[in-house]
Amino acid sequence: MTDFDTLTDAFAELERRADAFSAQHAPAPAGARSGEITTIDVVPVTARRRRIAPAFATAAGVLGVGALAIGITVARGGSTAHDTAQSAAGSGPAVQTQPAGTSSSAVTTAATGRHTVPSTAAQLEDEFRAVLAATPGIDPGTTFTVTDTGHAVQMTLPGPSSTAPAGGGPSVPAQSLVPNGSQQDGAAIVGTLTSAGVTGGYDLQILRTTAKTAQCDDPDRSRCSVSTLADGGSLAIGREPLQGGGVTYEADLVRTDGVELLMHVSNARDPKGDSTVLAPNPPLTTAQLTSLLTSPGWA
Amino acid sequence: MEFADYVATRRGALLRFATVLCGQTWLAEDLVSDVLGRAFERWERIGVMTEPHAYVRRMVVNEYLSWRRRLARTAPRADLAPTMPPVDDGAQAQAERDAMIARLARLPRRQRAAVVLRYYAGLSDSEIAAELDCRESTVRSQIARALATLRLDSAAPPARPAPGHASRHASPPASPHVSLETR
Repeated sequence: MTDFDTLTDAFAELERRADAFSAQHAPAPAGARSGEITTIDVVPVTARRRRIAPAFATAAGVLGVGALAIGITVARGGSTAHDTAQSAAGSGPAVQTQPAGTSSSAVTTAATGRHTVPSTAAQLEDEFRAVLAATPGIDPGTTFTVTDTGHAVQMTLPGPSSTAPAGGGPSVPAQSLVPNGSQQDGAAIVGTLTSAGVTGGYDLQILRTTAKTAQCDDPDRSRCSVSTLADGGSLAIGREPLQGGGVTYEADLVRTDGVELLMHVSNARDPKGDSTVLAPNPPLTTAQLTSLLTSPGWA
Repeated sequence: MEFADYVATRRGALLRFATVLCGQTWLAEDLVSDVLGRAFERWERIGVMTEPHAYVRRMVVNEYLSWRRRLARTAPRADLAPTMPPVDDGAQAQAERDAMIARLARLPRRQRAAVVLRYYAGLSDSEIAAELDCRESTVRSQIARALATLRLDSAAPPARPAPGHASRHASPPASPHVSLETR
């Protein structure tokens, strides 16, 4: 029989991990990211973790103070007031099939060096469709649906260096600068993807980032590894088990041009939660995920 | 209390609590972030409460127990449990601690929440029942089952506050409510 001191030690160890996690994701020094939008210049409190929040859980408030340096909020079916401009795209599943002949323009776009990221889910859908068609090793008959959409927002929390207005007035909490996700800089789509006859859930996000290294969803897990690509980019590839026999593959790519692509693909309908398992395996392999995210077809 | 002040002073404590609760730092951060987002929306009501932190902490517990948080969190460390004979050089204590963390991870969520609220947060049966929205007898049975899984003798509860946690953790289970985080 174990004594309670061991339980106490376990709690202390978990606390230590929490503190280490916080320290690891400590805010960058003020001024280290000059040239970016104002809200980013305010010291963020925590990590740059990206996530997709159920739309019914939160709206603008989450975006403002979600306690994340970067976050994604997804509008589900236009049911929230947030991001109504994208509600049409999120109003229901719509099968997207790769159109022939769209890949060349995407590749050309990348070749011109226009390092932009889609600012709307519709743009991201178009790019995703094009990249799917252009990526070798992926079934050309691959289709996807979009059930949720959202946008990426650089979010900050008030910190020691919160913006102080000229004249010595009271400092302005950072979240007041992004009341409704006004600092959009990216997009996200969620749905199901069918490739080679296998269907599973996916989510895809693209955003601008100040990070230099890709990040595993769970840094503590051994099922994820981060590597540096030949061009200097950083890629994290992982595998996460879900309840009920589900499994989610994750891929996070931080490119040298400051663009980050994050994708999850699962054999379950929801890559991040408890949902129906649709197939024995996800519709894409981790190798295909890698090819997809590193495709030159992205803008 | 302004929301910004609350976040600045209590977010770290919330993250520690959530990590103890769910066992994974990244999941804890996600959980805390979601809760803070929703708390912000209701801060006009929460901010004027006597103990806003207790309310937010309860939100964390509820979020942890909610159906939206069902990612399977197997404990890889349990799979890597040492098979070599223990050596009395401190490694044994560490191994026991890690084994305890692994056993905590295997607890059903409500049992784990009850254990954390009791032995980490120091709440009484009635307080835990209020947090978990169940009867006190249910709390006691949940904790009893959890202690059996954790291989802890319920007849020998901790006699003193946890080392390093004295300021935050109430020791006796039956003690009146003690605020979790005092920082």
